[in-house]
Amino acid sequence: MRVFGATARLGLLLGAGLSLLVAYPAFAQEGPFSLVTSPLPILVSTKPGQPVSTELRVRNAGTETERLRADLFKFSVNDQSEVKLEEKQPGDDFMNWVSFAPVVFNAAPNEWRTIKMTINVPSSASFGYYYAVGFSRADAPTPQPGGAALEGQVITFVLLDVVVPGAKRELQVSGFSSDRSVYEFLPTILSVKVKNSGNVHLSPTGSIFIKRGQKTVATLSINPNQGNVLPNSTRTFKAEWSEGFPVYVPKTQDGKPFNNPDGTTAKQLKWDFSKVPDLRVGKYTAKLVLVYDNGQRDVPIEGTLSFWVIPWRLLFGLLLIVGLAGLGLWSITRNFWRRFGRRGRAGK
Amino acid sequence: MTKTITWQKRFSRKVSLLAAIAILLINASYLILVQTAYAADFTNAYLRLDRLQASTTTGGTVCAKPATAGTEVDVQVTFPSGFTVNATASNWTVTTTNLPAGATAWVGIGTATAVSSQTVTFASGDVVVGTLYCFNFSGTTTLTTSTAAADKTGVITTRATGPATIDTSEYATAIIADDQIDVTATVAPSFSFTLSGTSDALGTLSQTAVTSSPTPRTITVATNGPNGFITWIKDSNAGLTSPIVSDTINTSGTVDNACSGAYSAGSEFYGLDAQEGADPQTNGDIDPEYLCTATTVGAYSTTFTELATGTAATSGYVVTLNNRAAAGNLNKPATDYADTVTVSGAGNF
Repeated sequence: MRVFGATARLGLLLGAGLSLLVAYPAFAQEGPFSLVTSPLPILVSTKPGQPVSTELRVRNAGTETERLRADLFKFSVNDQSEVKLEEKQPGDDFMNWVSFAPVVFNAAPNEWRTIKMTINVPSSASFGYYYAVGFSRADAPTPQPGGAALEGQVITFVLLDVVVPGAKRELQVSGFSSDRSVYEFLPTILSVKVKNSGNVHLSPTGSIFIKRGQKTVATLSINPNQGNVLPNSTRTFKAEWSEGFPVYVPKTQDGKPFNNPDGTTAKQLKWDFSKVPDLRVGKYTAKLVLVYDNGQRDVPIEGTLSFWVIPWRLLFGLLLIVGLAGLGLWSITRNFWRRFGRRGRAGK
Repeated sequence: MTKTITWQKRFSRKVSLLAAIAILLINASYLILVQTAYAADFTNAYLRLDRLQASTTTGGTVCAKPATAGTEVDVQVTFPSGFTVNATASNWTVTTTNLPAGATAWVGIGTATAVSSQTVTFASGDVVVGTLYCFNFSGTTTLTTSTAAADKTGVITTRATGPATIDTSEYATAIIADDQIDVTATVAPSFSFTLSGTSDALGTLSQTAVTSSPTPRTITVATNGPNGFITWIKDSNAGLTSPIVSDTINTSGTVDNACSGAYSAGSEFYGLDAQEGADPQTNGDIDPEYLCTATTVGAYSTTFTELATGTAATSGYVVTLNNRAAAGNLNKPATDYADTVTVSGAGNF
């Protein structure tokens, strides 16, 4: 018994001593939170009944080891083209298909971690499903009495296309407009509203041809980076035509953008005299040609609008100069003829 | 006996005279006869071709360090056999920019004055012994390399008026099948999100004035994703809640794309005023719900609400988060009013 008791005490001592020697990583629970994710977004495609996996990578850009967790959300786009991030709601069975490995993990400073996302797509699945994977600290922030606790979270969008026959891939241009109908100087902001009336996300691309008469003076790209339009949603793509003289550019102060009191970006005229040939005057036509893949072929969509560029201050100034010059010429000529007339009469 | 001595003396004198004349003539011949000058090698000379690939048009750089004093008037470069040398001298223009380290621009170098077979003659100025001079010749309609082979030799020669060779050296080069390495790389799209701090202690709230975050936290977003970014904000309680006294300072207003009404003393007041801290690419915007003032705020919601968006890549879009609060006349006293705010961000799809 004495030997057993001594052995037990010795074991306890050894255990306590070992626990002091083992290094436990210190996790950042408070303080700055900084993560980097890649790639973005993630587009995956599969058939009903076929699981699909993808890898999400996250890097701890902070200075302390982070204990992170992966959470699943869904996203959609509302009528105002705002991306709505939402938690799982009753009936969102498609969110039950998803699993992560690992769910909770450590990331040392500057360490990249790869998390495998597996979607076990049932045979009844079809068309598009839109997930948002959130990475945040595994432990909830400690509530701050007398204040607010802040929690940071980085989201990666995952767009799943379950390919089935009969998928409706259809886009419509619901609006093609310019921010004004008459400009004094460029830039012109052209907006293309694209509505997805199908049931699968699509990525349209295209060009806008700016013409003056029959001559094309500029070609702008629409959605060159292949952004996606979700089903039953509208997305607005913008293109800016700024090749003009002079042209409004964002105003800067000490090299930094300068804002108006209302928060909008202040602008100023830029006079680059090497761009004098780009002086825009008159009526211009913008012709849109947008193309998307309907699963069988490329489908083009077209649109047209017109706008005017009237640099009235420049024209007024030019008119004033011409007017003054004309007045001066007329005055000189009149004086000359008066003198000539007097001499002629005197000679007679 | 007298005649013999006299004859010997005369013969000896004649021989001596003839010998002296011969010596004089021999010495004078060095002045009279044309002397053959044997040119020295350059201390250092090389030809560096821009391309070593077979049958490829190329320009190059000629370098040489003179070893012999002289007044140079031209420099000739003889290209190896098998090279195609364009016969139009005016094509062989020269420059003296971006020369090898330690080299001096070739004095008086000019466009070629003559091309004969493999040899191109360039006008030159007087160069100094011991200095490395270089010049570049154009690769436009001038030279085409031969088929692939090693030990392709040529000659570089400087000449004085005459022409007279001053220095000359052989150089060697090799022509290979392919002189280029295809380098490929991928830059993956990435999204960076930083929250400057996770606590915002408002302290004791006043019933007559708005209390703002003493140290407003910031979020910084950076992405090379061409479609920009989105950030959202979500609140756990839609207000500052005290579990002890079961009371909440409710968020002001509703999420309606506009700031709340202005604060009035005695009313409970709580919400977020977000301001742009930096927008280096001028492509970000704060949602109108949260772009407020010192006395108006955006409403918190228990669902994610759009906070700020960007239309393209950004090197560091910063949003400053100002929580603003005031206790109402009827809010119960407690020290544990608290809230948890989640700020999320993503690269757009």
